[in-house]
Amino acid sequence: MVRTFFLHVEDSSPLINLHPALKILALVAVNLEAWIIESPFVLLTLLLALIALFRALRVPLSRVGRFLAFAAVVVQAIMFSCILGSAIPGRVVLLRLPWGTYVSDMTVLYAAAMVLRFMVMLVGSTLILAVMRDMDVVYGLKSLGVPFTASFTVSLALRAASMFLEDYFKVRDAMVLRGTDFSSGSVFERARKYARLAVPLMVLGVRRMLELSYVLEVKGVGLRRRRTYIHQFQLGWRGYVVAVALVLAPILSLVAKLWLGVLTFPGWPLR
Amino acid sequence: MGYFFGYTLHVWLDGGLGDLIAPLVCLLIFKLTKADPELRTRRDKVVWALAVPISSLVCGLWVHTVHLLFSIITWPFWYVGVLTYFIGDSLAVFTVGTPLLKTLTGYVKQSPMYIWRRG
Repeated sequence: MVRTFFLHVEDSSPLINLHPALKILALVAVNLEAWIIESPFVLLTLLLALIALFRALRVPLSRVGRFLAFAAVVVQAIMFSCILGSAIPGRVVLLRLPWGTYVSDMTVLYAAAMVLRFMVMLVGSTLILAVMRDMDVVYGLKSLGVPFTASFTVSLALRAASMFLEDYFKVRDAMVLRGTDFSSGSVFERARKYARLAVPLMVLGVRRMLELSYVLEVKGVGLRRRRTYIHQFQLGWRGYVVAVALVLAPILSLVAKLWLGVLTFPGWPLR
Repeated sequence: MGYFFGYTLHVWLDGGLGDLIAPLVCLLIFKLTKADPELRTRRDKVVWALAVPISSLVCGLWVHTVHLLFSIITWPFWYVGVLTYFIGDSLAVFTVGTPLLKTLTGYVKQSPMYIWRRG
């Protein structure tokens, strides 16, 4: 098993040993593709393909389940705004609302397409981030021409978010043990309790920043200092082909949507 | 299990950049007006009282435009979203941010990270 940013993944997974730059390009490409495509049929096919990839690439699919509550919030936001605040022409008008909008058969389909778009982004991002290691962020961004300091800062930011969450739970538990009840009182009273929680949390954050800056200084990380790298990643001709495909895919999709009219809503075979 | 696991482009543009924009707007207003974040004088408090709604509005505009671009909401809900975000976020920042500024500004100024201006 290999320890990635967020979980343990089988070391036999082909995605683990993928060039870090390809992981980052894939992450961007899958999100851009989902953003560009509007056709529900194409989005559904993409979603099923991504779910199949979880199995094929031996990445635990159960991790997606953790986002079901978050997905449910977004799904209800999409449904709510599409049903109550849109006027998408269709063959049948199911409901006319007093403020001028209406619900047609296409409204429901459009809402479903947007839910699929969101799910493709979520499942695709989870697949790539599940195999992302600390060094992948640094080496991947460096390979794409981002300066080392900026790449390292992004990696540290991702790591710091987890540390900040750990600190939050520690401070909250300590306050609960001293008698603070976060679940009682009015909204403002609760907010005031959280404000009191934020003070030690911020003090911890400042201390961590100080420690981190000393460590970085001791390790010789600087803006203009030249660096040597312990790992060497070779892209190879196959890697270059994949990289070009990942860059071209969103561009071609955008061209196909804007000039050829494919990938638009409702798209084939529903048009 | 990290916070950024399952981080989509939409969430990054929305939460990542949106939450960065709001404090930057506040910082800009404080810099332009030369106000003290410790909120000692009446003038500092007035600047804070104006900076919070402005930054909440800018952040709300950004967040809901991103939602709109990703088709999470439709046009009529953009207005509703911006308005509710403006009210809700301003209240939350006033409640949580004010004691934080008063108690932590001194602490941050005493830390070695703080750069004192010469002269």
